[in-house]
Amino acid sequence: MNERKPYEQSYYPPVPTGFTKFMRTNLIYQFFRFLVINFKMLRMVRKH
Amino acid sequence: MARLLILGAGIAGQTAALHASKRLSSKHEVVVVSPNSKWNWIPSNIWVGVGMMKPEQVTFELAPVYKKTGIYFHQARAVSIHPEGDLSTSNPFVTIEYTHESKKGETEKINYDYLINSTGPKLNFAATKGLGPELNSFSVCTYDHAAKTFSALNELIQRMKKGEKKTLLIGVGHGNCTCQGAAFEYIFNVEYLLRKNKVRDKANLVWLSNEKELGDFGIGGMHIKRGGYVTHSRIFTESLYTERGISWITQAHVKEVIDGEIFYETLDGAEHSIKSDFAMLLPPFSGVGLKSFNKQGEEITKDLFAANSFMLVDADYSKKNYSDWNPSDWPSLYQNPKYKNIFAAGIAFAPPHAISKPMQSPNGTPIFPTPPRTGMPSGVMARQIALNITDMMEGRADKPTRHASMAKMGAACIASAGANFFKGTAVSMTMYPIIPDFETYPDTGRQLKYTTGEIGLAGHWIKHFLHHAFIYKAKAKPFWKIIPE
Repeated sequence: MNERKPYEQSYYPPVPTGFTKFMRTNLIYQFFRFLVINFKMLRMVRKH
Repeated sequence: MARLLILGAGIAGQTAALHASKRLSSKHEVVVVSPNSKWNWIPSNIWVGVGMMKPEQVTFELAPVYKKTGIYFHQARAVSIHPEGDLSTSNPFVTIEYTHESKKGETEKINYDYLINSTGPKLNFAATKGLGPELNSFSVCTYDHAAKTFSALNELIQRMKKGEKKTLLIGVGHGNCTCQGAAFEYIFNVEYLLRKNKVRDKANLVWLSNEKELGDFGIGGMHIKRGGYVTHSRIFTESLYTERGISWITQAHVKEVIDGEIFYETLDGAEHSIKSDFAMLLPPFSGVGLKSFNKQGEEITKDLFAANSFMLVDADYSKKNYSDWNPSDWPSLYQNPKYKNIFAAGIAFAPPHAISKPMQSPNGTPIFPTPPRTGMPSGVMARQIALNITDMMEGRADKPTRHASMAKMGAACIASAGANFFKGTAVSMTMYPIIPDFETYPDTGRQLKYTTGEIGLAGHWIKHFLHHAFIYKAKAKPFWKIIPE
């Protein structure tokens, strides 16, 4: 709905490429990220 | 025999109650007072607000859990704290008023040896004229608010399916709100729902917030390493809003909500208004308004509570400029300085100051987020308070020994950005410490090794898993203790 137009607020931020968006829901890659994120979160929990 | 009295049965209260009952010998008592009969996993209320879950999926009855764990439960609201007792007794007590149908309105005095105030916030809709589900805006703060909000949203979607164009405004409804994260989750879940219903082109989605910039979230934002740069969360957040076609208004203090229009002031002092067909605006928080009295019956609320009704604890409450803020300002024991057997956990404790830099408009209107202290930090501090108190009750210690300062605590947060097992996404964040420490980490205030963020389907899986894990834990099912806060 909100189209990117020159000099408007949405004109400046970086936007993901098609490949980046594809990887966000790619099951194999996201399974790997699932493990990585869980490791990061558990590492945080262990700091308490 | 000694008694631990816990006011509130939210994330902090339930965590404290379960840990305390597990550690205390049978000669001691744990008593919980909560006005609600149900426990609510609040982070999933946003999914009730988009119809993905029913209220029954984010709640359960407290009484059976307390019966199983040997915790005494009063369905009542706390009215006043009497830390010195009264003229008839020297035992400290809390006056409660029952909310359970069978005893509704009856009052009772409950003695305590140790007290944890984990009452959470009062949803202060009255701070903004016309704000709230009883008036002109919606909320997802409680499961029944969220259900009502979905009902209105669904009606709007049906009208969009007939070709009508609508403006949906989502964010916070006052210049001093916190919980931008919940509103963030809601707007992206609404955006996902609109796409799912093939009406995204009919909706103008607008974010309205008191943050200085997008990505502040009341914690001053955070820097993470990504793509060869150390980048502020503002960039990632603006990117996500742009990608999903959501426009944003920041630095805003909502002054009034009428049916179909919102009036707000911005940090530059200008007055604005925006028309909307649907406004979900979270309210500011205050303490629940507990009073306190000394032995003679004189009011001593100022000894226990700050002006915003949050409880005073071992923080440095002296007035300081932003440049003089120090991580050591933040409490680590959550113990009232005057009455050492009183503690506060979660939202109920009074923070020494904000985390985001305080700002005000030329008209003198404060417009900046107040500090979040929900979820993981809330659970961690409640557990540490419970362990400290149980040590003292069992004679293992004569004062609290465990610390849980938010300045030395990390947090993990998952923010849903669309709920679907194959196509959903969520932002997964970790940060350390929660309170920025610019002396130890001069450039960003946080340790980059532990401060991370990314968006993807994995985050949604984790958020969904945590929903079930934390409800399992709160029900005190077998091995609940191995699930971390």
